[in-house]
Amino acid sequence: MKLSFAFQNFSDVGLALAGFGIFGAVFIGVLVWVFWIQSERHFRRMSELPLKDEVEA
Amino acid sequence: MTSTPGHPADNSYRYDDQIVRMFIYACLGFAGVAFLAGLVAALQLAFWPMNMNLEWITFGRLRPLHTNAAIFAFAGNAIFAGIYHSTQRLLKTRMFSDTLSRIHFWGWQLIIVSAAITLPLGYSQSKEYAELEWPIDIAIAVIWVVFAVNFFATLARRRERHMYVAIWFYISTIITVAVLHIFNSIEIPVSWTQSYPVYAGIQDALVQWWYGHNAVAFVLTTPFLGLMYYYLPKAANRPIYSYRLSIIHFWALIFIYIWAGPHHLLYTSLPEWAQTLGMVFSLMLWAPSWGGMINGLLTLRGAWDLLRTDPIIKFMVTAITWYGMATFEGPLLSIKAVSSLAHYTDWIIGHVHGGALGWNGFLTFAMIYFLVPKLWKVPMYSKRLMNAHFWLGFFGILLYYISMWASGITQGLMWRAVTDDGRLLYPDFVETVTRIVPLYWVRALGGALYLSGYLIMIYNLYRTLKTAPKTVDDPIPEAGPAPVAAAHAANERGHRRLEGMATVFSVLAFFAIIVGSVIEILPTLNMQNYVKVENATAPWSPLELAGRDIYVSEGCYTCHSQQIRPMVAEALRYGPPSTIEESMWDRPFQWGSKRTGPDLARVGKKYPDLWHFRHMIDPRSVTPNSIMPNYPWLADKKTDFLVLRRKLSVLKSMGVPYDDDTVANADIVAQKEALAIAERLAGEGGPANMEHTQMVALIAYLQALGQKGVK
Repeated sequence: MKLSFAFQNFSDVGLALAGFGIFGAVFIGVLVWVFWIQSERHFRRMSELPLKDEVEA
Repeated sequence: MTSTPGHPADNSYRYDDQIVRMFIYACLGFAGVAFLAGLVAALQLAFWPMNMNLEWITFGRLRPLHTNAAIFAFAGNAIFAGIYHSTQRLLKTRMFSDTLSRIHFWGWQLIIVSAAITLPLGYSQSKEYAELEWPIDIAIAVIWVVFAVNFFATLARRRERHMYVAIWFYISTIITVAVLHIFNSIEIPVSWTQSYPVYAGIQDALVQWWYGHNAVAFVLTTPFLGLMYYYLPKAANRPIYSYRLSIIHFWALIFIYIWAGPHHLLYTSLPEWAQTLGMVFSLMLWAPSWGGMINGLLTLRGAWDLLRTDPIIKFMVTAITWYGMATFEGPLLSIKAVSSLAHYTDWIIGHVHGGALGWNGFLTFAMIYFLVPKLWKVPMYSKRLMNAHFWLGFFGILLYYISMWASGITQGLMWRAVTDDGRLLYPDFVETVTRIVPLYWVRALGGALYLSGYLIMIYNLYRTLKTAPKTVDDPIPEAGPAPVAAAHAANERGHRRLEGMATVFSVLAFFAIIVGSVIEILPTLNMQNYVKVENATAPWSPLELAGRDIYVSEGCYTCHSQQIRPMVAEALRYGPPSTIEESMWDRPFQWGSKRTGPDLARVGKKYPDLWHFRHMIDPRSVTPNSIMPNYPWLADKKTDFLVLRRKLSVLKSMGVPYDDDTVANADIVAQKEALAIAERLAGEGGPANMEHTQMVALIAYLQALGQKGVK
């Protein structure tokens, strides 16, 4: 498929708006995801990983 | 279960710290090369005789060597050291393959050495941070794949189910750098030492700055953020301030960053919509960048006293602060009104070095000071020397940054200054250069201080390692669980589950960076949308093409742009704004990013041939106070006429409208053109019999700039 065909019905402004739309969806999705989990315990464990990784036998 | 070195059959394992030590050695060694090349380049701008009339170290060739050494040798080796060290510990396993680790190390060093040889010899594609020629490009791709295979295979055999935030940043780095490098390096070879990119004009400009900006984003930012998220908590002995914020920081940053490339092309002939898109996404970068910075700084809550007593924390906090400053300034410079003043000036150089010296440099120093005592099992020789390094480096950066800020704003204001009756206040470009030369000396002093700090570090490390045990065994962590491989906890959900799914996570990260790339770049690849057929220009003649390749090889783009912006002052100084059509056949594009000298887009026919000849032999003979190097070798070196057939043939295969006769007789056509110019040159009082020299080819190209009529 030629690129011109792929984009002939898709204006440059339309592309830009699509970009913003996708970003908005991703960003809101991440926010919802992060705050939906609400697992403080998991976050605390994860954040402490670097502090507990050098215990040697 | 089979047993492999470092991976015994039971659940005990050893970390491979030798590879970390090797990368640290390489980082320290190449840091000296990068800093010294930078200092010499700075001195060359302050005092042109520092170019020493040696073609291999003129500014145009040294500058790419400096940037490549700083980005890929110094920062690159630092990243690899940090990734190999932290990944093993965060995933609780040894790297997948010691062999792949060694291939990665030695392959990378070989690439760096190749760059250090070829760039001074003038083998360059002139695409910033992607100057290396095609055989080295292929080597980079191969070695990067080796690194990726080793990293992802390590991920697959990890013992820690969840991937800490630093690992995400490493994943995004590995994926994105591969995509950037491969797409920006698609080129057709002409010989073993030269190629032409498949992209031309605005396509090449957009792809290059999509690459160039994201080389900063995904080589100098995301991996260093990963290092920050790992080493800052360790050095401060407290967890990162907000893990939630780190998740938002990561996804927002990698999604937005990839769009910001066009802010390097504001007011150029790039389509307006792409410029605006780049500017808006650059402004949006403020939020995740500062989110990350605040997350880093707040990690030290309740422990700010360490700033007084611990040099490592001092380096880290300063690095994070510089990250904040650079990521505030970057979006600021992307605002079109600000860019109109700052673009092409030293302000941009100051901005870049604030990030490179402050963020990348200081975080690397902190990491090395943290790692050396652990890896070599010996305390640092001198804390006082660490502090001395810090303060020398700190004041070095300040001098550099402030001088370039002042220099850049001075340049920008002088270039645009217009009198009440509509004339340029400073019509001689060289006036705007001589005004800022004192600031170039201040910059060089800043660089010297930074280099001095580095030398103190080397001495300190030398004394430290002198007392280290001769052999250090790889550490054995306490026995962990079996590798988690593809096992998922069925009861996990959300990001928590995603962190346990390395493949899915990597695919999502890939999509995050590919969305912006596709939307911004694909439309411009269909260049017919933007080129007016009636304005299409003629391609370069064979001799002009030969001259253009010399222009590229000498790195003229490091000081001269070829893109006149649609502004009153630029039109007065240089002529009408550049159009898309004028560079539609340019492979590589030569729009440039800096004006240490004037724009050359319309320099053709502005001066006689003899003026150009004298200017190349001794710029000060025609432009008093010029700081341009002499190029006497151009009058001696011969033009390779025969290779022109192949060059034109390659360009024709990519759509440049050369007719078959011109391609078949390119050398003969070029020699005729050269003879005409040589005769003209002699007639103007210049030397005779110059037709075979590179000087004549370069003059042909310069005289054609802006002169290509309607085809």
